[in-house]
Amino acid sequence: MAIGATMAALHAFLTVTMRANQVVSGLSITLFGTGFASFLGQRLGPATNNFRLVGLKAARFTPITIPGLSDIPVAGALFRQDIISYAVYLLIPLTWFYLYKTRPGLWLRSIGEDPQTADAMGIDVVKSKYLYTILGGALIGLGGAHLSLSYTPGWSENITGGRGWIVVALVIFSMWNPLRSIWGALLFGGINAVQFRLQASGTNIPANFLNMLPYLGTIAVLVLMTWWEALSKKIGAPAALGVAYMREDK
Amino acid sequence: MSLVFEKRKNISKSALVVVPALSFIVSLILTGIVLAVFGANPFTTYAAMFHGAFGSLYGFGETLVKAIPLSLTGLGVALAFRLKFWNIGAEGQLTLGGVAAAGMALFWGKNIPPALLLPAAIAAGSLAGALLAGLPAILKTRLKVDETLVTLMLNYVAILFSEYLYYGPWRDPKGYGFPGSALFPEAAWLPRVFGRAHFGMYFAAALAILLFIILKRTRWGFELTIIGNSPKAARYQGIGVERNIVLAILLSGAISGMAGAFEVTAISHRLQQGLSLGYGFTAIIIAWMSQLNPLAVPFVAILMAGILVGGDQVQLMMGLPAAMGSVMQGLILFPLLAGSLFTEFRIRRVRKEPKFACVEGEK
Repeated sequence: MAIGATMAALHAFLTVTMRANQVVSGLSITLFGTGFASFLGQRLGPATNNFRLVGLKAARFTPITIPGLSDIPVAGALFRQDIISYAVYLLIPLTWFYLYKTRPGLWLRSIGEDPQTADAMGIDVVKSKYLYTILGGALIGLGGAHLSLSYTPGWSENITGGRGWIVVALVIFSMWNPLRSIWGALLFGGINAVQFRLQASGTNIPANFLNMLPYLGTIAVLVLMTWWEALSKKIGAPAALGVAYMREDK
Repeated sequence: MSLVFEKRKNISKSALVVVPALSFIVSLILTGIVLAVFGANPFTTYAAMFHGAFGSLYGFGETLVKAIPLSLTGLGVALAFRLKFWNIGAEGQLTLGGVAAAGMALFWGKNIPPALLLPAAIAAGSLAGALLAGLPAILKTRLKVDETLVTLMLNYVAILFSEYLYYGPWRDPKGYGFPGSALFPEAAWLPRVFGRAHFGMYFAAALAILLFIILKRTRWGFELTIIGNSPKAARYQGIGVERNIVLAILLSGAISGMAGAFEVTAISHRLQQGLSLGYGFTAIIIAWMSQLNPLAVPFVAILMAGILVGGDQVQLMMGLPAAMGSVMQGLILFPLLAGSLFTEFRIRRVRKEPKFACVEGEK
């Protein structure tokens, strides 16, 4: 989480203060992050493993079973998860509540829609952008920790498999609403699960095509959502998304 | 005292050169710190890297071998970025280009006169790259679908598809289970110049000059520049924005696809694993460091290729992870991005008192 936050702070510095292009800055952080992770992966491990992290079993989070609730059929699986998953259960409604029901949440959304107006209202646009970008980075770092500590114990090269990009499509699918992101996450998680199930069931479809499913699914979701938004004229995206705020431009 | 940012009327010419150079130095220093933390002497490491990449004819040949695909994909990416079309699918376009060229070389040898097999393979590669880039371009212009994600997702799709082929139907039956296609007929081998450095380097250099001329001296290039700066202004001028974007992105993908075709016809002579070693992603750094200027791309590509080859070299010699090269490349981008502030803005120090800020007028 700390790493995620630091990387996000860098992103914020580049895009908010230095007004660099957000897409390119995000890209460069990705390139650096994967390069640096693979560098560290070959250095940080113990000497017994040739300093490599690959192939090591990490100390992992053990699933915590909540007595009673976990015995419910189907839904019981929700209560046999590790601590990060439980944190997610809490974070989703909390984030939603913060965004839509509190004053700072309103400020946050107004910065996204119209930073000039927000500035005029006395909101510190630059400070807020920093704060929320860093906070978001910390959450994403938590996601990475979940991958290496819980989902597959241990680290391997390219462990994320483009998940960080797929979530962008997820956010679009959820129309920027944390509550709807549950459905988005279930959809993309479902695609993953279908892929593994099909593989395990021994179909004739080559594994490589099954592995394409998450990526093709992402493209399909993007196309459908963009199309639907154009039809319904209902856009979830903040109006000022991707635009650097320049106070001098007023 | 406080700092004031003013948008420059004209992009600063000197900053265009100084900022990338400084970024490279900053990256050297930052990587040096990382190296020192891990107990390696940065100076000897850099010296070994430089020697490995440029110190011998063999090393320089290997650097050129990597610089060719980097330069081509860099040109493709730079062209797309000039239109503010964030094509980060060069990796996939290169891969699919290699696949199509391999398909042509492997299965069409009997139907095509030998003299035409190599051109046909390269054309097939370019076409495949163009098609893979064309899909997101059409989605973007027709439906306004975000091209960043689509191009990126297609990378994974193209790579998985190529793996499917050389692990599956295209696998060499005589390959002792080694994943890879059969060797191409020699008619489809691109001649080499020295070492493994092949004729693709002349193509890459010629293409850089050609693109520069197209962008700076032709009507089409002028239209593309207007579209890149302001699609709205272009529309008022009666320029077909969507059509031109699609055309330019097809060209961008074709260039990357050609890089893939060169890789298989000149280097591996078969379709196998490791067709692209992240060239399409490094291309983004190259395009940005060249400030999207095609003429600068080959030189930056040679520098980046040198970092990669040098990185491999220090891995062999000093046991440092080869990923050090990618760390270094990643670290170049940050100061570069931060530095773009200086090319586009003028920074002045002003006193807090407003009257001084007013007195200090425009130049």
